[in-house]
Amino acid sequence: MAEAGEFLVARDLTLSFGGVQAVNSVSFSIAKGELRGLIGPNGAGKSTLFHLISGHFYPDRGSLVFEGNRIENKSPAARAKMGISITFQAVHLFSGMTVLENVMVGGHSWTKHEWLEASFRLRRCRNEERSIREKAMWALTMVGLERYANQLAESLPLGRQRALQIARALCSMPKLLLLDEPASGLRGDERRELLSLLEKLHENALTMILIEHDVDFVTKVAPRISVLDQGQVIADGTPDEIREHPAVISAYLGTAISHEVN
Amino acid sequence: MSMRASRKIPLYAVVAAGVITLVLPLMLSSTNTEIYVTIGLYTIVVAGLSLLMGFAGQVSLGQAAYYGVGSYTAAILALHGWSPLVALIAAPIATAFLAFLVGVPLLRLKGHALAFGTLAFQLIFLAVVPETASLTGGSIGLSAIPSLRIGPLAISSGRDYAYLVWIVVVATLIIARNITRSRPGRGLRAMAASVSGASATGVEVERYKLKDFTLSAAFAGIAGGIYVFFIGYVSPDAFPVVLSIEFVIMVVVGGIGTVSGAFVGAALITVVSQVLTSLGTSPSLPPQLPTVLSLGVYAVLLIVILRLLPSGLVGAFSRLWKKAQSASPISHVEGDGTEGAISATGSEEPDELTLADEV
Repeated sequence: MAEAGEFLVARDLTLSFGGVQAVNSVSFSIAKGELRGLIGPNGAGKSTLFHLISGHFYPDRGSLVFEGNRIENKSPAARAKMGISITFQAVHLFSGMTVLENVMVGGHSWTKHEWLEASFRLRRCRNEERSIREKAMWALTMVGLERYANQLAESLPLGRQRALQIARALCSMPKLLLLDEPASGLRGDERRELLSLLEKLHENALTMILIEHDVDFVTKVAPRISVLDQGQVIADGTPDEIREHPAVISAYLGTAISHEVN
Repeated sequence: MSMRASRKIPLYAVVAAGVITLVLPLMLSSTNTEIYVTIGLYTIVVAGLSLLMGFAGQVSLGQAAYYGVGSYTAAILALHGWSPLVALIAAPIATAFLAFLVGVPLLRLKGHALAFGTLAFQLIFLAVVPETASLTGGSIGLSAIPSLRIGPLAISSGRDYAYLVWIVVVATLIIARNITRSRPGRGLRAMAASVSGASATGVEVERYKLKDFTLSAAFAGIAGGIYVFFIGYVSPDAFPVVLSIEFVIMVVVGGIGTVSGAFVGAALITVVSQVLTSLGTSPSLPPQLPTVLSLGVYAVLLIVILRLLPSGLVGAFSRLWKKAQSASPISHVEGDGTEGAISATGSEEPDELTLADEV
């Protein structure tokens, strides 16, 4: 198991909505190349924590350091450009655009050409467009959607829409990929495909954090798991350690995991 | 055909459109040439406004003011001894710059508030022009504007302007299409569909809205510049609020966020407005009738289009076209249950960005 490195370090992250402490003094660190599972009961603050990392929320307190840079107050776009990519729990598709175009939006973060160059299709525009298209096709192939490239994104069934989100994230060539419940609503075969995709990405040393409701799914793919409950990290360890952790058992008591633990 | 689908426009259609555009000015009477030029000018303005409404999801009720700013910029510079061509080129630049300055605070507003903000800009424009008579000629306006020359070519007759304006139409439509098909355009379209999704992929949402706003003003500015050389005279009366509303109607009628919709909307509404004016100006009728009549017709048109054809005429036609094509056997390639999904999208037409509830 990888020891905590300097890749992503959160210290004392805190965010409250009204009187509710959604994320309460959370500290953790993620090593480069790690695939970390993040589990917890409903409302534990998992998605909120992701939004703090992606920049869609800003913390009341605490710091977030990504590759040695403080990022907790940077915009989502700025963090995307630094290599942080997120797939949302609720699928955020760009409707009206084809599958390929959706994925190509992911290329926004590592390309530069702007309005003037695009207006007259100047050389940098043409070159970058070509490499975005190539990267997007590669990403579509990774998730097995290449044959749907020219179909409208919203015409895909839910499982493929989730895969499309991952392809879009991959096209942004992320250094850190945040996956918020990518398996929810997927059928059995789609789950297996997702699992093998995550394994493949993990082998390629992509750093990932995976939120998943289905504990079974996480334990199959993540060597190390953090458990969040009521906005706090209550446990952290290998899947086996997590299963036996008393705080985890009590947090999940009455839900699926207690079943498994027993 | 939308900006995405327009790559499927068959070559013969492009050639036919080109031939008609070139031949038409030779055959038109001078009144009709004026309408022809006007349609071209409005197509340019509407293409810009359509980019703004379709992609940044913002309605501008002050686009006629930018058209006016372009006109005055060209007129004032040409009257102060600048070469008319340079004055014409300066028109979109100055208009864009002003829109940028106005846009920084204005775009902090959202939805209806922003629409009213843009309307306020037009009202301020209409109030300021008569008060700055030394520069703008006040409410009387500026006349004796030198005629346009491009190198050795004097642009003087209506026919010359007809060609000039359609060259600029083609150029602006190509620019609009180039933008929508590359990185910035994808960013805009992504933003129109999901702001958080777009920002998570690195699109700087606020900056993009401002650029879109500025670009749409630049389009209005170049059209205004051509207009002033064509007419040879400019006064604030040429930029009433109702013209801004007409521009919005043209966008909606043609199809929000489509390149070809800009032309369809501009042509249709310009012709309708001409017909209504001639209907309403019979000697026995009250003088305010044309305005009342056209506002009434626009209102009905807007409601009908938004209720029945939310993707505009171009969207409705491209849907029919797709249906006709999918009836042919070649397009059934997909297996595993995706046909159902395809036909579902065909009937709901989500491939046009409809921001009807923003209007």
